[in-house]
Amino acid sequence: MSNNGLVSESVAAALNVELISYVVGRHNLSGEDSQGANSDNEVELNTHKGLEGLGLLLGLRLSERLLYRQSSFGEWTPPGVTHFVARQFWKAAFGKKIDRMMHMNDIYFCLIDKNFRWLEGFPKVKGDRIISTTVLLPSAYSEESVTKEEGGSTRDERVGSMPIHKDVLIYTVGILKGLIRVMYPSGHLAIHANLNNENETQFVLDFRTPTL
Amino acid sequence: MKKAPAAAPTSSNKGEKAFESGEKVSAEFFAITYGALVQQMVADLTQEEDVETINQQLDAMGRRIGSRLVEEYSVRSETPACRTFAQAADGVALVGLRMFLNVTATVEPVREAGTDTFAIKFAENPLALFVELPEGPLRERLWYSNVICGVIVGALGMVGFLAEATFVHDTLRGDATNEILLCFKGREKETFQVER
Repeated sequence: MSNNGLVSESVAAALNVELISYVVGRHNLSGEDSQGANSDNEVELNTHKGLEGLGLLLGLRLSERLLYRQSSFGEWTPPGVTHFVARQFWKAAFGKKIDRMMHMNDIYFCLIDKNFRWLEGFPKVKGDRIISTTVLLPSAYSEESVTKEEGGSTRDERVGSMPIHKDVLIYTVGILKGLIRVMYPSGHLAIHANLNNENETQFVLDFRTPTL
Repeated sequence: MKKAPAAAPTSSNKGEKAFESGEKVSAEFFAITYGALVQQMVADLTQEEDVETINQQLDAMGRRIGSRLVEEYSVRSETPACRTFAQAADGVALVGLRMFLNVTATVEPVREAGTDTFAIKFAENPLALFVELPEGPLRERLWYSNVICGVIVGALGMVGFLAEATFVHDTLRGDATNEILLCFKGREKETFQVER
C-alpha cells in the first residue's frame, strides 16, 4: 500500500471545528471561574486572541511542510504569496483551489471562497449584514483584528460556548498570518476576513504600506 | 485478450473506493492541526499528572465527530446496514478507517469466553506524523490518538450499537503496531415503533 499523504477532507473539517469549539469553550470557562474579575469584553478578546494564536502556530508549522517542496529561495513577492495561498494552501487545507481572486495593482488581494467549508452548518448571514474580523474605527485605540467594541458585539451573538462565524474567520486569519510570515517576513501585510449574505467568504491580503 | 472477471467487491476495496471518490486534504495539515490541539490541551492541564483528562477530552471530541461522519459513511461507502456487531467491526476497520483516514487496518475477533470483542490493528497513523512523546506521564498514560476511539464509538452509537473502544497498543509508546479493542456493549433500544 502506498500512502499518498492525504486524508478525507470531511474528517479534517470536523477536527478544525472541534478545535475552535475547544478554544472557545476554554476561554468561556476561565471567564466564569473568575466571576467579576473579567468583563464580558475581556473574555471575548481573550477568545479571539486564543483562536488567532493557535491558528498562527498552526500556520507557522504548516509553512515548513508546504514550503519544503518549493524551489524558490529568498523572499516572495505579494503576487507570489497570494497565488501560493490560493492554490497550494487551499488545496492542502480544503481540498480545492480558491474559487475567485481579485486584486488591485499587485498589492491588495481578495481571495473569495464561495462556500467556505469550515462554516458549513453555521446559520446563513441575513439582510445586509457582513461579518468581519475587523471593524474600522476612527478611534486611535486598536489591536490588530480585535477591538474592545468588537469583542462586546460578538459577545451578544454567543450562545454558551458554541463557536460563531467570527471565531472561524479569526482562526483562519491566524493560520494565514502564520503561513505567510515565513514567506514574507519583513514586508507589511494586513489580513482580514469577511462573510457576506451570499455566503461568500473573502480573505483580504493587504500588502500596502500604511500611510502615517 | 480475454477480460478478467472483475473481483467481487470486498470491504477493503469499498473503503478504498470511498476514499478515492471524496475530497481530500493534506495529511500533514491534518496531523499539524491535531498536534496543535493536543499540545493546547496539555498546556491547559491544571495538574501535570492529570493526563487522563486529555484522554477523556479527546474521546468526547471524537464522539461528536463520529456522530457527524457516520451519515457520510452510510451514503458514500455503499455498504449495507450492519446487522451484527461483527459486520460493524468489519465496516469500521476495513471501510471507515480507510475512507476517512486513509489507513489500512486489519480486524479479528478476540477469542475470549463470553466476549464480543474485536482487535483492530493498523501500522500507520496519520495523526501521529511528526510526533514524539516525552518520557514521563505523557508517554506512559496519554493515548495520543484517542480521538479515533471516540469517533468509532460515536459513529456506532448513531446506528444503534453501544460499544467501547480503547487503545491497547500505540507506536508512540514504543509498541510495534497500533491496536484498538472494540467491545460490544449492547444495542440501543428503538425509540419508536412502526405500527402495522
